[in-house]
Amino acid sequence: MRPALPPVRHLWQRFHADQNAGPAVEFAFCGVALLAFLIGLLNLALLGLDLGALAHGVQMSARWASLQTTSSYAASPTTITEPCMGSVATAFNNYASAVLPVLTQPGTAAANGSTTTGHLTLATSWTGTPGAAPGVYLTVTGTYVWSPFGFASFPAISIPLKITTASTVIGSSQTGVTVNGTCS
Amino acid sequence: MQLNPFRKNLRDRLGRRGSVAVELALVTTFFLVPLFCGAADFISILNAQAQLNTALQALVYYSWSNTSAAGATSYTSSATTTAEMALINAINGAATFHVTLNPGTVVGSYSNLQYFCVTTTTTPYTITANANATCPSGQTLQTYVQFTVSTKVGLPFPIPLKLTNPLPLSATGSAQVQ
Repeated sequence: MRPALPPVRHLWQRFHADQNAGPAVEFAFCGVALLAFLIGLLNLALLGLDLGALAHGVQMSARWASLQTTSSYAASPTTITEPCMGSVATAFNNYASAVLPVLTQPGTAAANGSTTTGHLTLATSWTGTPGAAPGVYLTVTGTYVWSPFGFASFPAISIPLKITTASTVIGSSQTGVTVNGTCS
Repeated sequence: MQLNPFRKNLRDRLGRRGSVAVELALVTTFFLVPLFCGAADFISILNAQAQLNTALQALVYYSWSNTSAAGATSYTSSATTTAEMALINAINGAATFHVTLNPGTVVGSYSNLQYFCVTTTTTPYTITANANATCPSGQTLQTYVQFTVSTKVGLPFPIPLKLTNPLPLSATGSAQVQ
């Protein structure tokens, strides 16, 4: 004959009186802190990666655009042609898209402008006067609103990263150089 | 006097809950909050340093592509200093952190020149630092231009007695122009 099962009330009282789970409760609380620490560590690494990619993309795309302009020299009359904003965005994608979102092409073919994809924005601005130092130069600004891993749906928890650089067109400080009205 | 078992049990339960809450408060106060404050400071510093390095890179590119202006004897000319400041102003126009191009040791310059004399008749080549732009016969002159940019970062959570607020940051780089 099987022994009678204890009533549910007794089981509940025994469970309630049991104090052996103390370490488990402590671990549950310390585990939250440990998890937060690990996620924070992971996010710092991801932020460094994104910031590095943004800085590299901005530097290299500005450099590419100024060199592209330098190589566009046409003699008599001496003109230089700046690459359009879309070409700079493509150059940026080539250097940064492994880590950052891929920029979409802007709708209009203009030398100056900006394009935005998600939280990533790239803006270009050609300034400077040919024949006067430093000549024609391009200012590129990359902005990326970075969200920590696991917090993408919380816009309040985001950090704006912004990197700006300027790159001169070789030889454009010489007199007699003119800038082509249209980009290519 | 013996306590009512029910009341004793309740007191124990509440006591245990309290100790866990105290542990959580301690962990949060001394671990989590400082960790997140430090991370916020670190991110600000990282962002500013990346901007500084990018500005320095822009100056170095300018020197490479305008070697005659950046090096030789014209590095204190108004055209060169105007050009360097134009680049820094263009960056400051859009950047979050204000970048300052530090003055060079020569009045009117934003850069320092360093000269080296290279002997190419023997292998390996010997390179010696030189005080001026004139090398002895048979040696080749190498000129390097050096820039230093700096900024100050306002820390979101200043750490007392450890980091000054705003925190000064700088970056120095050289480029061979001759």
